[in-house]
Amino acid sequence: MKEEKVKFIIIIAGSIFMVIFCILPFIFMALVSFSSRPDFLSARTLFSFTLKNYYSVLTTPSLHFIDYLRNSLVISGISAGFCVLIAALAAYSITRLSLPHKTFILFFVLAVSMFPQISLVSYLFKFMAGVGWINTYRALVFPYIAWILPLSLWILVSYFAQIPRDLDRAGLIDGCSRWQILRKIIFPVAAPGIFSTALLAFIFAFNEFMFALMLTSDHHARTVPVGIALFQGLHGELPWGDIMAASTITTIPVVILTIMFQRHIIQGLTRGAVKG
Amino acid sequence: MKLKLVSLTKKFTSLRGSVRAVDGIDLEIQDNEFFVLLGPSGCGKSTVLNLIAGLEKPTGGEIWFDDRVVACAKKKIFFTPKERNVAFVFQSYALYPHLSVFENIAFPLRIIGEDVTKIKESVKRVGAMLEISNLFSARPCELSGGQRQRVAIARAIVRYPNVFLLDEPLSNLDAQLRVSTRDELKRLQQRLGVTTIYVTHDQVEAMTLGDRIALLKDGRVEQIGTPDQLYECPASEFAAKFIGSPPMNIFEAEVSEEGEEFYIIIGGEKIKMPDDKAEELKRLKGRSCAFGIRPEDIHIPAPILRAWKSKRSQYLKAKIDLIEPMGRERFFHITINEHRFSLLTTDVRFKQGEVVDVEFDLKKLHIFEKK
Repeated sequence: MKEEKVKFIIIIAGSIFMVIFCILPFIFMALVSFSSRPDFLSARTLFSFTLKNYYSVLTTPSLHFIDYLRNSLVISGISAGFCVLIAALAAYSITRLSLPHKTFILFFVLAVSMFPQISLVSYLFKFMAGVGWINTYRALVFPYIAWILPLSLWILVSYFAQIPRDLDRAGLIDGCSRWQILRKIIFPVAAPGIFSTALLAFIFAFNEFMFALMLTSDHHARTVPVGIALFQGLHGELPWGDIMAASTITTIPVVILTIMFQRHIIQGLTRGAVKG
Repeated sequence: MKLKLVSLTKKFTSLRGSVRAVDGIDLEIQDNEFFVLLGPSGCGKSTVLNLIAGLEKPTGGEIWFDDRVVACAKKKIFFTPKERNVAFVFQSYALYPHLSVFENIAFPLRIIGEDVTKIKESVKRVGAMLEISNLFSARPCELSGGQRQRVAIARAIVRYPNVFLLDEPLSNLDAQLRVSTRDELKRLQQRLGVTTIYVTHDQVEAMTLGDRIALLKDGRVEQIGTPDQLYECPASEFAAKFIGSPPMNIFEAEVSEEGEEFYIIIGGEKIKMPDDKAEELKRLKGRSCAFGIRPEDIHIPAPILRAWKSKRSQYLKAKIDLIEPMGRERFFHITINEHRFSLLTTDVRFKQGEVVDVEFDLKKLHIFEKK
């Protein structure tokens, strides 16, 4: 009885601490974005509510925030889509077909993904400059696909491995070709896993900073994280209100997606965690 | 559809080396026959089924469907399951979890691109046959084991297959349901008249269902025959032990030859062999052999009979170690001079620890050559 109580208190206290720890920066961000005098470093200023920061971020043409947001959504969406498509096909062949050196391929992919981004970015810049892709969507989409692929592949492999092999065999017996098995059986059954992987891939691409910083030069292809970081340069001062308002808006699509697929994501993440 | 397997072989290679899961199997399965592949786990029976279905490619040998070769390793002929038109019921049922029961059953028809009204008709027909019409809108996860089983069978028979293959379909059901489903399966097969191959490790299932049984061991056929043949004349010690419940008593005994007569010595008692057994022993002379007798062929004679028969038969002293009542019969564990035997009787007079006289029905004695 006593032990149960202690356990309960520890769990509750731990959860509260974790939630506050994680959510505090967001609350701070939101508060500053709504504040009319975002001099948050000085404790004496009182909070007064305003939407001025949002208005300025969304309407000032020189900030290009809307462009950045559009770039981010398009680039992340395309990257996540292709990435999951490739990863799903690869995961199917690794888990189902008689492929030589499967384990080697999987671990090789993992090892490749261990390279720090900074070690790749200079060569990538040279390459993109060489083919003339700097400051285009392509310059980001291709590296993003390559960069997120290992993660997606590992999650999907562990997900596909849990789908019973008998389903494939039943499909074969019922007269399906391999493509039909994939389209009519495996993909629908694995849909939650594929969705959550797609979402993770999207968030990864959405948050990426280094490649975006190096491979874009203006609002034609620059993404939100880089755009916001470079706000400060435009005015010679640090427009904290604008920065925080932009950041808050930026989190909205991710939050919406996460809430929509919440159940699937938890499933997908834990599956990946346990097996991969 | 008549099936023929000719020296069928399947090797699996892994990092640890290669294993011959199926090692030169020759079989002929008649049209409309209910054929059972029986064997312990790892004997290759499921692999044989997969080879027939076209889910695995044989390493050697041929498979014939009527007068058509559907798989031949040498000539590199391989028909897909689709081309063979086989139906398969998996041990795990393998229902598509994202589809309703109706769609599960309709799936094979949709793949061939069957007409929508025809699909509806066919699904309704098998649904009525298997009494699952009320479940059409349910998902597989909402069904009980027995219901899933029916859906799996319905999906298999919905498109008139050439051959009906079942891989331990009853092993996930509870004991009662298993017996009733077994009956239904047999009836269904007779009604459909489709050549059926049924894989199981359960000898009771094999005996009750099969027109003929092939007993497999280590990827080879140990014996083929009707259930009665396998029970009455097991070809080997393995077959004798595997079929029958409780299993046959297998024992070794010294053989002595006196002129034309043969005796075996059990528990210090010399027992004269009848003529046919003596001949068999003569044939096996010099080779080591084992003897087998089924539990129901060891009798405890009633006292009156005993006095009357004592001139003609020989009794052995046996101690009853343990009695297991099984309702209609009792299962005795007895020892005859350190040899353990089991016997079945309907007699209720005896108690544990008692010493009784027992008699072997020598006509039912089996002699196996040791390999």
